[in-house]
Amino acid sequence: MKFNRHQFVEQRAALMGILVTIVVSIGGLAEIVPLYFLKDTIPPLEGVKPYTPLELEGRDIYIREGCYNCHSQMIRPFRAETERYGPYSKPAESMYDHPFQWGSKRTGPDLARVGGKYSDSWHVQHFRDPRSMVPESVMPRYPWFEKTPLDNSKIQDKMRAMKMLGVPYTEADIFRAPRETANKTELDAIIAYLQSLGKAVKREEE
Amino acid sequence: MSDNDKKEPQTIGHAIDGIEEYDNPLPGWWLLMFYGAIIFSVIYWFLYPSWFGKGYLGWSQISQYEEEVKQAKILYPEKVVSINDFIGKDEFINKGKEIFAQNCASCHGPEGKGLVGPNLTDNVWIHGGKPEEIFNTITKGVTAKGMPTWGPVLGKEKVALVGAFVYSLSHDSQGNLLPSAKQQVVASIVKEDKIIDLNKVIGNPEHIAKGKEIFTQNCVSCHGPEGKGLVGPNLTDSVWIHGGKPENIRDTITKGVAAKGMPTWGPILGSEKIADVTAFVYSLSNK
Repeated sequence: MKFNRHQFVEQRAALMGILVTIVVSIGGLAEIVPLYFLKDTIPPLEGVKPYTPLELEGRDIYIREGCYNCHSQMIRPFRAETERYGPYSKPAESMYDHPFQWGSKRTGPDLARVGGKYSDSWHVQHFRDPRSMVPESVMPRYPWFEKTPLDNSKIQDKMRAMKMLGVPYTEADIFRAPRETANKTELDAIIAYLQSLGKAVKREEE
Repeated sequence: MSDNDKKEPQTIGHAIDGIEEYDNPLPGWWLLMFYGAIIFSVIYWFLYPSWFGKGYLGWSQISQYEEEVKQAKILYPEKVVSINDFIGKDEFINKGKEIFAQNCASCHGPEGKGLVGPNLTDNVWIHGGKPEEIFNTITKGVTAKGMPTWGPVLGKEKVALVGAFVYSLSHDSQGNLLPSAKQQVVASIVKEDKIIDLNKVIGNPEHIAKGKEIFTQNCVSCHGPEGKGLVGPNLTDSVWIHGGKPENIRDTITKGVAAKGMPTWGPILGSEKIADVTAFVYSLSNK
């Protein structure tokens, strides 16, 4: 019987596994690898700043509470979105987000540009009872935010981890962080985080 | 095909428990699609943005978006509007009411009576109460106090419609102040039309002592047990954000400063108690 390539591969599980891995990887590699070498993957954007320690803690509360399950942070370049939420999201705006919070589901509105849209006191009321601010809202209440002191014991480790991932925190930033986050509530932190979102790109002034 | 019908198709040459497997070639139509897809992908690679830059078609997500916006501007041109065209006309006011419900009610309350944002149904105007002033305040916002810049969000026409609605909360179609707006101003300062003469209360130890008691029950959580300030400002110094004359203090307590978290005490305490608190607060810096 003549040599049969199919038979040769199919009867050797390990060899087939290796070959399958190589074939499947090619597609992924061809799409992902060039992004690391293309200059315009993340065009620089003025005004994008790393999160302050308090904002970073707020971001962790955002993740802990699963806010991303209902809120996206990605305004896509469609007119319908920019009319409602403001200018579409730029790649550089999430360059200090590890991991990014783009999300994929919008039970609630997109939050990519919620920073500065409402006042701090609006957010305080809204977290106590979203219905008091937006009658048709289905968002749960978060009354414990204002009663829970912020646990900032890990803030320096968190900032070091971010630094490792490329966020330009200085040693001085890290040194000051515990003091900047001392005696705050979780409400302070999450509002600080929300108010920082999307500030790098201003809505066009009329 | 007639050959295949007659001949027994080839098998791959082995049998397990007598079960054999045919070795038929892949169907031609399938192979055509397979190789066609590979060729298509190479062409696509050069036409659209990829490793080689922007691609021969020059397509980009952003240019597609900008085209969409350009088309929309032609389809829905921004009308030249003046808020004065809308003032006092029910059809426009009703449109403004809808926009208000969607965008403004969250801060100003569903009826415009104020929540986080100030009451819009009285005739107290922080940033001016003429139609043009209302239009400007909505357009530019008051960022320091949390009022968003609505101009770019809503556009001029919608801002003017909302402005007309807001104006209608305190004015009739002829532009006269509504009785309800007048009454609210009076009621918010002197509840039940009882006018307390502040001169008789200020400096009166009896009223100051009463005021202190009310202060301890209601105000210390924000202004501190001695009025030296916590969340709320220090009341013992000579700095007065909203005026330091007795009548200023009374008005500030009565109306509150919603934007900064100071409640509207008027309906809660009533004018008598407010006069006593005023006497106490005034005494903190005027001994």
